[in-house]
Amino acid sequence: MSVLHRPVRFDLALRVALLLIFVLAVEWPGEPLVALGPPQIVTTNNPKAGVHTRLTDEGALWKIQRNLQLVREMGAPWIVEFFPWAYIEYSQNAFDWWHTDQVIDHARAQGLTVIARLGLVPAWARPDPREQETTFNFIDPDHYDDFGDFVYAFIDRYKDRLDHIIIWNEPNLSFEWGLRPVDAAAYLELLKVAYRRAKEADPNIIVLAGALAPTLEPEGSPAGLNDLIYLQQMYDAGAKDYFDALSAHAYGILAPIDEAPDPSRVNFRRIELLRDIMQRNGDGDKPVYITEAGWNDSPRWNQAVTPAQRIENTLQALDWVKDRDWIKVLALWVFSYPQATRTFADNWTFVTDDLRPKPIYAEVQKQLTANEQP
Amino acid sequence: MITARRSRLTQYAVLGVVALSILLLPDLIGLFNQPVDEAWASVEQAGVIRFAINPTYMPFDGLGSHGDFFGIDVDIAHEIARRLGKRAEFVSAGYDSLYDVLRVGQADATISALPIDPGKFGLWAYSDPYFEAGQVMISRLPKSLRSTPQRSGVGETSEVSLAVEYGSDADAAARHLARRRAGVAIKYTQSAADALKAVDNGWVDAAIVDGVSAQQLLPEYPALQIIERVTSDPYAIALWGESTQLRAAINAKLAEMKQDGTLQRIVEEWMRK
Repeated sequence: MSVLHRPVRFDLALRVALLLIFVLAVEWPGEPLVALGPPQIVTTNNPKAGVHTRLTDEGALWKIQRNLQLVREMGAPWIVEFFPWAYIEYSQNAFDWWHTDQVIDHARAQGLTVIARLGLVPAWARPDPREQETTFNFIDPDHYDDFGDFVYAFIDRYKDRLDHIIIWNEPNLSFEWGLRPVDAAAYLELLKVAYRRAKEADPNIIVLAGALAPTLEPEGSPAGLNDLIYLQQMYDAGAKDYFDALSAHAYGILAPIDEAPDPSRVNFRRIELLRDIMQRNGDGDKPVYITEAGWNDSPRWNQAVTPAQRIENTLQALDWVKDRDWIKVLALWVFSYPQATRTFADNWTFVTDDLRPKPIYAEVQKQLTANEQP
Repeated sequence: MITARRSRLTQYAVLGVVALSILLLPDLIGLFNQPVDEAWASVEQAGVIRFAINPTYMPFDGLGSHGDFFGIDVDIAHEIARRLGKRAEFVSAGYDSLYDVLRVGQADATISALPIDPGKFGLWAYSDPYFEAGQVMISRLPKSLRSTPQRSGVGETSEVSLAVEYGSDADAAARHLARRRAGVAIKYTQSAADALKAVDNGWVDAAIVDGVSAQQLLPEYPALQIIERVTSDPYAIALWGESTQLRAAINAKLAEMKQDGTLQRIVEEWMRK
């Protein structure tokens, strides 16, 4: 009996093993092989052109690479990308750098300069939810040093590959400040810690502050605070020595590029008013980096322009920044999303979620690469 | 040998039963663990279907100065509720909140010209589509000359001129078409209306416009007709994923409305306004 059964068992085991291998191969086909490839350079006639990419939640490496290739091919040498503290330092002093490594290395391989936006508080650095429910943007002063440690670790790792960081995003909006009343002095304390730790890691790193949301919210509003008032409050609290450049957001809403700045209106050239405040506070030598900007062309949103106006305004904005020495970068929001939102938000993008260039991509590419030899 | 063969067959049979059990396990669990359709229970009890709506997109969703909702979606919702022997009520919501109001039970269904988002399948569900908003190609040419998906243009002519609104999704579709088909020349206009005017005047062979613009504008141009659907973008009613009974009830009434022409009548009435 044993002589008869042995081959049968072997045969069965082999068949089951083959079946398992087949099932595994079908279920987990694996990622396409993605190599960094030879170093590329960006061909452009506008060295200030950039886009805010949104690779944070992009899991597929080939899509990260393809996004960055398309940015390069569009003629934009800069990207702004968000690197969430909560994703990287998932528990205190435990880091997962894989995704960040991929984004930064692939961007560099495409010849792009990365501006890294840091923020989003991990659960371990927020109050116990049984005692206080908080959002991912909530940070209390007890954890400013933890954020500083993260900034140090981040720059220490990437100091040979990265020159710019932005500390936080739109702190003048309640949503971005942990659904609390905004507080310029508190943001400054956070900025001070981050700035000191950043410079400890790399004295040459350029620390961008602000990234203020253009808004007309008056003092006391639960939603936020007028960016012009907030910036002055930052200076009043002593912010001048704690950032190297201002990060600004420049949304045109319904206004064309030539609409003059006006404190009572949100338009693209509102950044000139921020610049005025910097000059009034003796900080006029610092540059401004526009790290989000643009127009939306959704037919479903009353704050949107037509597709043709969006293209025209965007092309004019790219031209407009060329001659202004105080502006270093114009990064347009947003290159693409990992998945379509199926809302008006999709009408900010330059390529679809499956990486098909939209007409605005083609028109910007045409302008940025005109008369340039690849 | 017979014993060995029998033993092998037994082993295969056991393996098959185990594999089948694993395959069917989720269904078996599901049989004993049916989710409760709380939305349907609420509708049955109150006699009211609460529809979430973002009233900022005419002719689908509007809001009057007296808080009265109107538009295609509102009329469809009223008709569905009436046919179910219920009453429709409307909950105004921000566009970003149209799904969350279902999650927290503030509404039973959302009807707001919502495109189907496959990423939401599971937690949410959709009714059968009630409107197709995708891009369409419109021409004066008779249907017998409609384009083929191969490398040929409208009417098999060597050169085809297409009018589209510059920068729009129609433009994106036209550029895509031009890359795939030889002889497509794109002519830009400032709006979908101008694109149709260009076709009607004979300045171009065809135009691509979105489904909403097509429905609104085509009555003005009796010589023009839709000759091809270029992209698909169906609108549907969204529901919480567990609202299976409510979804089935809505689908049944939508099917009736399609069958008897009510749906088409509602759409056409509002598109003419």
